[in-house]
Amino acid sequence: MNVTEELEAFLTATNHDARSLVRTALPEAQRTFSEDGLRAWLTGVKSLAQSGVGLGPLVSYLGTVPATAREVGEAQLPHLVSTTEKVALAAGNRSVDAMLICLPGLVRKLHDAEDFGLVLEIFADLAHTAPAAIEPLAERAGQLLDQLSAEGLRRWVLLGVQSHTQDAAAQASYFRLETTDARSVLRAAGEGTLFSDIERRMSLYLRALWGRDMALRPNQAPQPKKARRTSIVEGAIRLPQAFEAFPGVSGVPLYRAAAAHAAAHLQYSRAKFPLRELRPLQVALVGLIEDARVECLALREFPGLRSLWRQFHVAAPTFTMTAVTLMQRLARGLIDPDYRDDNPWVTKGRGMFRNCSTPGPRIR
Amino acid sequence: MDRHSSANPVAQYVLREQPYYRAIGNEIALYEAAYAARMPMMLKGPTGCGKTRFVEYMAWKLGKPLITIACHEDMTASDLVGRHLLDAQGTTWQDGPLTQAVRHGAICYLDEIVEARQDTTVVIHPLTDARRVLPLEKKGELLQAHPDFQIVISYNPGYQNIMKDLKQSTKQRFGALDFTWPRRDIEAEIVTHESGASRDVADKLVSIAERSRNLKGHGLEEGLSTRTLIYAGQLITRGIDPASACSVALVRPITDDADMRDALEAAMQAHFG
Repeated sequence: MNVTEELEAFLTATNHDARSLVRTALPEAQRTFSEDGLRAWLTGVKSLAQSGVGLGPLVSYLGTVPATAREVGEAQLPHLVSTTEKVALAAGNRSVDAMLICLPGLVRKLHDAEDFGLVLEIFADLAHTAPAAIEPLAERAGQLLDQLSAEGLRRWVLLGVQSHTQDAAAQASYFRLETTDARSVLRAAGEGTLFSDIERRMSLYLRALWGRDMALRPNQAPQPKKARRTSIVEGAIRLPQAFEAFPGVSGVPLYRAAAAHAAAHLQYSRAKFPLRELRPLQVALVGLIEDARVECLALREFPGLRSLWRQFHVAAPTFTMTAVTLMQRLARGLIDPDYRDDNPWVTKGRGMFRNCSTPGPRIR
Repeated sequence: MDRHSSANPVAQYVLREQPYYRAIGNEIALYEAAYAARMPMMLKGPTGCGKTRFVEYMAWKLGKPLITIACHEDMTASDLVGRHLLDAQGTTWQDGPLTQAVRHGAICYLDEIVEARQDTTVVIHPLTDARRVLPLEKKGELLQAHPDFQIVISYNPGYQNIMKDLKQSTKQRFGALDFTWPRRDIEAEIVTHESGASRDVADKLVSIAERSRNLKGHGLEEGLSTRTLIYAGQLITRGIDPASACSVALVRPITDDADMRDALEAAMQAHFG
């Protein structure tokens, strides 16, 4: 069945009100999407129409999704649709409505599709862990993204969820920015630390630890998302020009953790692992294991680095089971012996790493 | 009247108890041979690495009194040799610590000799060659050194610059023993013994010191000394948490440079999990 036939079948089967709404919105959708995009869009339409959340969310979906997709690309539609389904199912009509309405405003504040995916994950996770927080978050998300990156928003949300697990009212106040801790965390997160402020002390720090000079360079600015990454280029450690603070932690430890991690690669990484034959997911996994391997070796010499690194591993068992979240959970599991995660894949990964980390893990 | 005429005034400088000293190499045998030849000795090395403790140990081992003089820039030749003093009976001669050592056969240890002015230190020259004499010009006496007398100086090459160094004519009157930081296991053994800290803590303190020594010449004049590690170990032994103990005993004394302090504090935290 092609998408037109699928659409007609749906319109025939659905009720009058929904049919009327969809027919009104259809021309814009057809102008906006390719056939694949239209099929993904239709999946969302059908899902909302059949979910029992009422017409409100469907109206919001039809009105906002084409505009959102034009900003982030229709490749994001399946993720958007699946998130919509999750939120509708777990958090109800008001929550999914609020989320859909806020999205077109949010995407203009995000750097790229990856950030958009992160925001969707935030909503999907909240649907599972704190559904009452979705509505207030959707109302404030634009304001929050004026001060935070998508990653910063994720941390801010996580802190709110973790801090108020027993008190739904306090949690709602947090997400409405009505509590002192919500505002102070946000304020701290907005106060970034600049590379130029920490360059000398980080250079001295690395020299102290490893007894050799390790060149530190700032990343160039034009690609904000990539510029927040740490890398090693021609033997020099490249750090972001600025780091926003992590909730409860200033930018300085974040720089220190990043610099020490990169220095561990310089110290312990040897021949480059051949990646040509590998798929992107495998490449990411090799990187994750190599990260854990060099950190494991560094910890033998400097056990105190564990607390420095561990504070930035915040992945936790969640409803969302994407490859990215599972890998984040495995990464945390490899550095944090106290982390509990019963996921079989995470457990297996931890076991395999532990088995080959004595006497010395080595990627061949 | 000469005050030195009373019963052996340097007896009080004999060490009654054996000082703890952990040999690093063959320095004990070398020193014993040098003493047997009454060779003036120069102990070279960074601050707090055990030079003073070594000379104390050798004095105890040889059964000789040890007179230690901490040199400083306001020190005069009279402070070393002696001076006439006025009292109710008139003028009396007071031997300086160097003269006491020369006269009564002690080991005279001039600690951080370059801190003294060069015109002060030339007074030791006649004691450091075959003559072994000390001219007491103000008293009109040429004092022949006691057979047991030996002069020892300490010298930290790390601190020196062209304005503040020993003259070659002084340097070449001494045999020299080089002291440096002990090997890590020996240094940890010393820290454990002297501070009462556990071996695990001592190992970490030594490792921290090694990190600081990586920064010598990169913002630090000198790395952390064994002595400071002992201080840190003593604080930890008395229940102070390692971070505070290291901050007080290691980081704050060594630098006021904010970046350096931050780097050292963080390197220190990297050791204590």
